[in-house]
Amino acid sequence: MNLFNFTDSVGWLMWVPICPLIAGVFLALLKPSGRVSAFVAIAALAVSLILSLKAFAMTWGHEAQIETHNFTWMHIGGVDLEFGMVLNALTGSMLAMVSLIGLLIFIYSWSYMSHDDRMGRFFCYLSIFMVGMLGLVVANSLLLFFMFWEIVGLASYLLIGFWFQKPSAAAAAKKAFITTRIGDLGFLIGLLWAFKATGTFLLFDNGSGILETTQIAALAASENVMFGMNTAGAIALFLFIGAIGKSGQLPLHVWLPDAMEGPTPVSALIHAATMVAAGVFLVARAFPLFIADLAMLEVVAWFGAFTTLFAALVAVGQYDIKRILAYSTVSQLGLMMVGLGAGGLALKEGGISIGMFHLLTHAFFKALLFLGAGSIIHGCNDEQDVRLMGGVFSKMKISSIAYLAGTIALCAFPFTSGYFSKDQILLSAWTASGPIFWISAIASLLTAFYMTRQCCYVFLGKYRGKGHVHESSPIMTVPLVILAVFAVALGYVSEHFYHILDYLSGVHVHQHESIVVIISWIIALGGIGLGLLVYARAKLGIDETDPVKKVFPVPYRWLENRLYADEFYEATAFKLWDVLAILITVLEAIMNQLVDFVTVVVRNIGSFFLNTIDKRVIDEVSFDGTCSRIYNSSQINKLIQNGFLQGYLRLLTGGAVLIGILLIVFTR
Amino acid sequence: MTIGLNEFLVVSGLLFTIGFVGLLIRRNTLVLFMCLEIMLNGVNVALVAFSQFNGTMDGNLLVFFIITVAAAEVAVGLAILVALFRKRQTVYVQELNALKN
Amino acid sequence: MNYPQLFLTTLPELIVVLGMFVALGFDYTKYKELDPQTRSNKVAALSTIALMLGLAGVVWQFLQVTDGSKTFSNSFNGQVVLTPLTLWFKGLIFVLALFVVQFAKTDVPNKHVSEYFGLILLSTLGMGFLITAQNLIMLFVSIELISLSLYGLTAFQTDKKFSVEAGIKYFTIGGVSSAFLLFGLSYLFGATNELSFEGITAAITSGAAPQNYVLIASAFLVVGLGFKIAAAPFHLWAPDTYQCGPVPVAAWVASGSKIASFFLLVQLFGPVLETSEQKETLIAGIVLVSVLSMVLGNIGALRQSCVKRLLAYSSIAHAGYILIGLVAANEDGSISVLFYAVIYSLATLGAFATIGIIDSRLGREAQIDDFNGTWKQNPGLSILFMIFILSLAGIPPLSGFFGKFYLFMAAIGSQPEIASWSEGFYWLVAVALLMSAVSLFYYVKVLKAFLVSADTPKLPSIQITKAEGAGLLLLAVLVVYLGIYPTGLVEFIAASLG
Repeated sequence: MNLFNFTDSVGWLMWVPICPLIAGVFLALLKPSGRVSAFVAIAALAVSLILSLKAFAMTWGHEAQIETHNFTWMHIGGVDLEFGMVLNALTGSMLAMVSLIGLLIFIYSWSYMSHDDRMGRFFCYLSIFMVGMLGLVVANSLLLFFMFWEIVGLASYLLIGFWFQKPSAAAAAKKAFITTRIGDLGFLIGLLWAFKATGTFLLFDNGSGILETTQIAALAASENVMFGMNTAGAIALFLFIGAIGKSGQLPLHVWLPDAMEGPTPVSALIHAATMVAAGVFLVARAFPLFIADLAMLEVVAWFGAFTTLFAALVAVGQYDIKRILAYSTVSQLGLMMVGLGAGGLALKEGGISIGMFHLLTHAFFKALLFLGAGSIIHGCNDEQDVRLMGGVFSKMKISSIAYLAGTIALCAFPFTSGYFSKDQILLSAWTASGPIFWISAIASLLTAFYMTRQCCYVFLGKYRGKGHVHESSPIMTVPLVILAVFAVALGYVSEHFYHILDYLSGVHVHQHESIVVIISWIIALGGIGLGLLVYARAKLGIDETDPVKKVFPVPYRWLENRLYADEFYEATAFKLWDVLAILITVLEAIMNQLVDFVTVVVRNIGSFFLNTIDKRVIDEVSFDGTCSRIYNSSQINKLIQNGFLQGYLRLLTGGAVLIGILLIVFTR
Repeated sequence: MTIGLNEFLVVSGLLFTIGFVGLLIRRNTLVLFMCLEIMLNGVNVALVAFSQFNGTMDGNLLVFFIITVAAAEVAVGLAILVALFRKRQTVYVQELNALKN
Repeated sequence: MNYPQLFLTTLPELIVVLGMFVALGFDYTKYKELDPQTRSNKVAALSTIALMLGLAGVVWQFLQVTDGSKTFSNSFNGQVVLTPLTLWFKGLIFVLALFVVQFAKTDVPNKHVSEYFGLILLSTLGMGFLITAQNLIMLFVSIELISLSLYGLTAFQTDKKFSVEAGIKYFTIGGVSSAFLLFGLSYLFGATNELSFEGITAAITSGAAPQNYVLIASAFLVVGLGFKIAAAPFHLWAPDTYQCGPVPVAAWVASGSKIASFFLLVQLFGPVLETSEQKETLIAGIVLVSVLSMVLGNIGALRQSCVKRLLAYSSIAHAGYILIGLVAANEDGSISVLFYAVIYSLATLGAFATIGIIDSRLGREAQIDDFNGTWKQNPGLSILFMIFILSLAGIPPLSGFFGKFYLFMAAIGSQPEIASWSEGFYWLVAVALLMSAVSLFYYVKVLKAFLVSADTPKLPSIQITKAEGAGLLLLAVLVVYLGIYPTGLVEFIAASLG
């Protein structure tokens, strides 16, 4: 492979992740001062942005075209492990989004972290994160995709735990790393299965890649491999498990709200705009596998629908400004999954457009909301509880207007970017499945409601916290303004809106259904109106009961406690672990018993012969001794590693006996 | 009655088992070492028997190596035992449980 | 008997033995009056020279064999078989021994300096012979050579209370498993009437050997060899030995002896597993050992606060992962086992060496908390240690990731046709992945300790010697390099095996 091959059609894509890599290594090895580190990291990412925009420009207008650059990484056992880069509309749009938002957040962090003496390390971690994220976007091999995916996970662990002095941050980092790894387990099995079934890791390879027609047809041919699905569906299911972990979908969503312990720019970059979207991106990338089995699309849609409703409900009961946004992120990620699943059911390949377009618009307005929240938190002297804010609007005009821009986009207020993307999702759900449509609609209504609630808490009334509110520095507000423009305008800034949709998947997907449009207007305006009705005039504060709580005290308490999801895991998964530990102890005790039994038999046979010689010896040494030994070994708390040599030997015997039994059983 | 291969193998197995059971139930480290020797001798019996009934000398060759190495093993074991006794004034295994978990 | 041929075949070993005697002789006479540290430096220098000359000998043999100008093949009825593969691994053992000697010389446990290095050299020879052995006699003798040296080394720290206790446990359990191994070997011999691997394999695969004997033999061999690789449930010696022996010795047990044992496993079981009729049976046994090792090793490591003991449990878990490659029972499986054994040894040697350095500067066993703030005080050492730990945890792009990935791929690829998900080894790989997720708990615990900057770091700024620094750096570079570019090694192993 030639690193410097810029004449090759897409070989240069490699440089998009390499630029931040160089910056990261530079920062790790040379440890320059904070200012220099920030400059280096930002400069490297700017180069990546330019390259990304080039990629975007190259794909614009050539939707159906897929260009690849593959090379062999190694041969093992007669097969080649190939890596490569792929350039299509999906790559181009995602690259442009990730590097643009990344750059804005890098600039913002420069100011945000300026008081931290470990700024150099912070930018080093951020750069490593960008390597992983940009890398997985360009990867044309499932294996390469997975490797970058892991790097992203590691970087996120380091960044969430950046303020490790807070025990909660350290715990959250660990939780995030390990929960997502459970998803990765599924991903790895899926990719191994894909490799076994097709003999390649490449996604696109001149007709023989995993995602191309011939392979998909072959994979879809086999029926009822697992739960009635064909091979393509089974592989897709495993990949989807990976996506569930990374994108915080329902069973594995618990890490995402806790991840808000990290610095706010990290929340914006990783836990709103990019990393959590990687799961959605994976589904979009591997979409041909999902389309090959319609059951799989329904799985995706239903998982998404439940997640979006669940998280929207929980968000209504939260008071921490970042936690509300975190649950809203989970909810929107669920909505993207609905878009992919329902879109796939309704429009086949067009499903990519539906899900991905919401991913892109969401990235802008959610990053904006997080950065705005960061700015507000900064301005309110590091207060995160919305009950202790209030009246912020008049003190922090720029931040507040930007935040409101993000809010109306998230609420899908007509003609903002969020409106267009959400409208398309609801349309597909309308065509695909009634229940999913109504679940998503209710979730959207709730979204508008809780965002209005939050804004009422933060912006209206009088300031309820300590100290004075002050506006943040321009380095922080400029990215806010840029993002605000995108958030409001991305959907219709040009007449190209429907063009973007078609561009993303390369097929014509634009639909129109008047009734759905009316419903989504009702949802957005109704949610906001309802929120204003309840909260605008209510007395808010830390000592006041939330207006909704006054009416529905019991359900609201459930929401405040996040529907007890963490407690549920506490009661199930962790208990299961304890049970496993006890089981092993029991197993050990049984083995000991077995061996003791043999010992008793041997001793008693011996004693039978010795009986006539000396009865006393037997009574004391043999029988009683053995009894007490049995008693001792039956104590369950005696662990395997008890320090006694003969305990070790007993386990060895138990193992040997077990192997012997196995051999006998398996031979016949 | 003719003594065949199986009879030898039974004796060898018995020796091996006696040695092993001894290791499990005796407490004195010196006796444990003797039990180890009994196990090795069980192996020797099997090897010699196989050699005899297969009609080759290879097994006997291995037996000589085993006898020699066993002697070396005892030498090392006794050296460690002496060091242990100096340090802890005991040779009983039930008193050696400082290392656990 | 062709004596010149014998001389050339065992040339590297002869050089090392000679070097060892020279070191012993000087130590008893000329260096007698010097203080222990000086003696240790001088003896270590002599040992290093001996090992380097030996390594040169190995390289010479390797060149001879690869360009075909001289063949050592099947020398002496398979007692010492020199092929590119065995020579490469023997060379690797010598290189690792060189590292161990460098790490060992700063902190010799007691005043018997030359015996300490002598035993390290002897065990090196044992491992080298074990790799080149293709005959039951040589196999037995070299295993005993390794074991006896390591028993002695474990009990060497006579000033520490528990070193001897660990030694006697290691010795007794080792003796028992040697007896099991021998019992298995005797039945193998009885079944096939052969002592050389080649003959044994032929007899088993042709079906001439009585099935019952082979079954008994394989059961006993699994027990005996399970001990050598510290696989559960034959693992209980490992935590004590690693924790209480001198740290370089623990490093040596975990790296060199692991490589040699896995090489033997592949040589002994590989051909049998690929063709034998008992394949299913034997695989069932190995799967059991593998699963038990992964579960017990990882769970055991969770609660440890002593880093050495933690690494010991993690090595048990890794033995479980490696056995998955053996379960695959095809060429890919064998390659992946050897590859993983190599990279695992490199990473674990590095990790132990770092801990050894920290231990000796602290003057006691390092607990995880002791690492708090190491990043601030010793950034270089921390980065190296993190590379080793992350490789053990299997984070890309370090070599641990690719190694694990290859093992799993081999296991899944082992069955050509899979009609449904419940067939094949998907479940085994799933267990392994689940357990590696569990292992993150404790790896992350160690990592966190390094990154946390405590107000008063417990460790002083550590000055490491040039030899230690160079050794650690080289190991880290290898760990990274083999992760990014594993092709060279994998292709070499594949070509030599096939």
